[in-house]
Amino acid sequence: MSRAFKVLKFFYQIGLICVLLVAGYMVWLDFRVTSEFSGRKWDLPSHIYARPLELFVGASVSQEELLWELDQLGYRRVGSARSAGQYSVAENRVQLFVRGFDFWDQTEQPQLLMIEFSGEQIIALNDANYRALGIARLEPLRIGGIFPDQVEDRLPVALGDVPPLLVATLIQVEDRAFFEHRGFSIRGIVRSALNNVVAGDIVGGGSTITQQLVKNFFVGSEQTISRKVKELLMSVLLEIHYSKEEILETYLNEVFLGQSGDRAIHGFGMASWHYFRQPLDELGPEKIALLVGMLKGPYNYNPWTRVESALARRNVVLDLMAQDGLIQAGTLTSLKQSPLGPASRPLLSLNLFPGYMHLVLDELEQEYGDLDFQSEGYDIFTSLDPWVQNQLENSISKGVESLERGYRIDEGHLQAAGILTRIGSGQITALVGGRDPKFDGFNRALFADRAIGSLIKPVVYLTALQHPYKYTLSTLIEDAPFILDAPNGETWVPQNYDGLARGQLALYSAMANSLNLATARLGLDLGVQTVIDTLAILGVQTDWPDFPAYLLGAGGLTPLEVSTLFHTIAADGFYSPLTTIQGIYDAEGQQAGIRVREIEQRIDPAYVHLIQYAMQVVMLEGTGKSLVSRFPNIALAGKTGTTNDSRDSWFAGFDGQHLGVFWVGRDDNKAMPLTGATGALELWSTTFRAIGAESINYVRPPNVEYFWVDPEKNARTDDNCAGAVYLPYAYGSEPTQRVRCDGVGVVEDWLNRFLGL
Amino acid sequence: MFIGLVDKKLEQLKYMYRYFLAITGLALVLGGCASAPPSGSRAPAGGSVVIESATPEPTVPEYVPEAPRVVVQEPRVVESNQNPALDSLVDQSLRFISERHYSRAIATAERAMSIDRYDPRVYLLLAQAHKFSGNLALSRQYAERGLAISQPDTETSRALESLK
Repeated sequence: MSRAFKVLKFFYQIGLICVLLVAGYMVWLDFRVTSEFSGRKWDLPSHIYARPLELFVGASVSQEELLWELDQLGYRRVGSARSAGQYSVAENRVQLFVRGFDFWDQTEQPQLLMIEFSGEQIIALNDANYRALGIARLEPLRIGGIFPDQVEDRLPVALGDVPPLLVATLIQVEDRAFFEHRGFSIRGIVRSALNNVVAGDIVGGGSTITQQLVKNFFVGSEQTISRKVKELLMSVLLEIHYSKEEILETYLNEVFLGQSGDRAIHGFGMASWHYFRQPLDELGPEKIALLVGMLKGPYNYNPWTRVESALARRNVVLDLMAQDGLIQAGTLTSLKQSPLGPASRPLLSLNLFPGYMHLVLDELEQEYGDLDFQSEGYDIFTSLDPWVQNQLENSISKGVESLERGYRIDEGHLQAAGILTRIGSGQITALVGGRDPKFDGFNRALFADRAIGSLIKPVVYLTALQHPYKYTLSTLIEDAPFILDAPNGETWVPQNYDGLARGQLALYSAMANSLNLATARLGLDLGVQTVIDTLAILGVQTDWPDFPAYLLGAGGLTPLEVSTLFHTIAADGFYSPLTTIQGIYDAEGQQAGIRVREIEQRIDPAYVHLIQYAMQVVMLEGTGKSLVSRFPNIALAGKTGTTNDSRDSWFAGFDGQHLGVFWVGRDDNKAMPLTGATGALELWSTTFRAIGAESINYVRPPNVEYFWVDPEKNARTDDNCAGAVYLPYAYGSEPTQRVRCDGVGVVEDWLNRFLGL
Repeated sequence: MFIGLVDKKLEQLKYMYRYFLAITGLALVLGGCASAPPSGSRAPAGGSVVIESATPEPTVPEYVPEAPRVVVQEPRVVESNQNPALDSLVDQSLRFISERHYSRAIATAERAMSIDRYDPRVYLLLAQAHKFSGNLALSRQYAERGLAISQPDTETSRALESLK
């Protein structure tokens, strides 16, 4: 064998090995490309939505509320609404082109609505042809998300749903030869190589859309020769396996377009919402130009922080669009003069409503723990009412400051929490866990376990009223001092708030005026444990001992627990667990988890009707009467609560729609110069005035009858008697004795007259 | 003298009558009103010993309750509602039930409930949809809820009664 042959053989073998190595490398690259690019390409975040705003004649929706919601949803005010996402206003009328939404029960199509308002109500709802509509709804506001570990937020869009102008502009700016090349462009590579030589360093450039996608997906942005070769090979492989349309769609959804706190904005779908609060299909040429221009550097061309650079870059892109005939040359000047037009603030932070979101996440973990919310792209629909939440936040943050000023409390020491629940469904519509609603700190609404004071009284009286032949609303009970010896040798000496005793009075009056002595006597007669049992029946399990002091509210509950118990009362004795989540749908729109709204009759509605009566008297004559002038002709029900030394100020009250529970106090549990009526009640009042209170629907259950009664005698009387009250009684429990207007018994009167006395 | 005798008898009668009233009153207090906690400074029983108050009785102010102005509504006969939004949702929910789309029927009825939770038809729909989807216990609860606000002997109340 000649030497030359040996050398040739050696090189042949080396060459073969190299070819095998390259082939193996290509196979490995091919495997990576196909395995990672096929199927789901990203961990999809789950998005959390508020409730949809329902529009119908008679709805308590003010024009202000609708316009606020439209602003949140990114609708644009125009002279005349002609396409989805637009609205116009003329006096008390709003012309609105709703976007439509794929709801859980049915799909709402985009349509033009003509809405007319009077005061706080919708009085007309018509379609474009002025035909009356029954009901319509807006799409729900996205209020938060659960993100993958790398905190990438994206809203995937199908290529067919992307405006053709965006696709054309993208190709024009990023990769003119996209539809011709096979993954890379020799011309582009030569141009970038020359640029690098001139610069004396690697300054990049020249990548096709396919290469950029490979860089983002597989090889990273490190500027080395080996990475470039790998990028090139993978681009070719990608083009072999996948169509141009698939590559383009993936690019549109993958590309990085900005940062919002920890959250990385990926893809044009999310970028459109992030920067403009609009869906992609509503973007005009100037907004498309800005987004495409930002690909060059999302930080450098951020429309909020780098206004001039962003404007200049956008106009460069607009010039390119005009050059290629993508936009009419005549419109170029006006488009270049138009403002950048980003939304007033980023669409959503990681945690827009931290207090509420806390409860949502807790509920997801407890009830839907098997779902992977960080990567499966679920849509989670909640009952949050953003308008109500906004009003609650304002009331609490401003109200607490006002209380501190008014009562000379050290600034920053007062804390508060509030929860609003829709009565009947048990949906929590708003929740604030502290005086700074945007601060994601200790959530007092969920975790502040504080003595509830007189909020326990409706439970005590409801316990009594469940014995209708012993206790009715007019039963006379004694409000007189006493001392109770406890088994441990201590004594219990309850007192009324003002230190006075009222003597004998009707049961409903004792409750309305929050009399401790009468309540303690009544509670002791019923038994402390019986009262605690009623609390459990209303939905709140406690480990309270049966100490008498618990009859006056020594036991602690959180505002959420208080909401649960009062919701059962407000819902006529029907218990429902309080919830935030209404439904969960996966990325394909299939139902993944549904909230079955539980309901269970815990107490006969007749007895609840009676306690609701007493709670209305609280608001008319008792500790809540200061609201009479603030809510004229509106029937409300509620109860104040104050604990020893005014450490806690509570109010739980409801109108026709919402139950509101408020707590005010200090985290160090020190005394403050506030009662339930001067603290929490004020916050409740401000909130309910802002959201528009409605009278409660006080409907008589079939087994309740009303009678005119002399409350000082616990006897039936005539409706024209001074001081007579029209009281409800569980069937058959009304007083049997009758008296005249002067309080003299009818039998006594007859005998007197018979005997001529 | 006769007149004097009559006067004397009359006085005796008056005395007896007052005695009768006093006894009757006492009986009423001990009987009809015995349910109220005993008055005075002794608290009701409950296993605890109560001692006489050592503190002087506070002044009792004159307490004259005013007549509350609570307005009550009668249960509605709701075979038809005057609210077009509610009616359209009720119709829609019924349609979903007939098409066996029970979860949609429930979702639509819940929308109706948020408009008017005192319309018994809403609970009838919920009770029916839950029954057909196999949740009988919840169906019964919704039927109870509807009955609590229904006018008896109406078409709706009879339908609710049948679902209990």
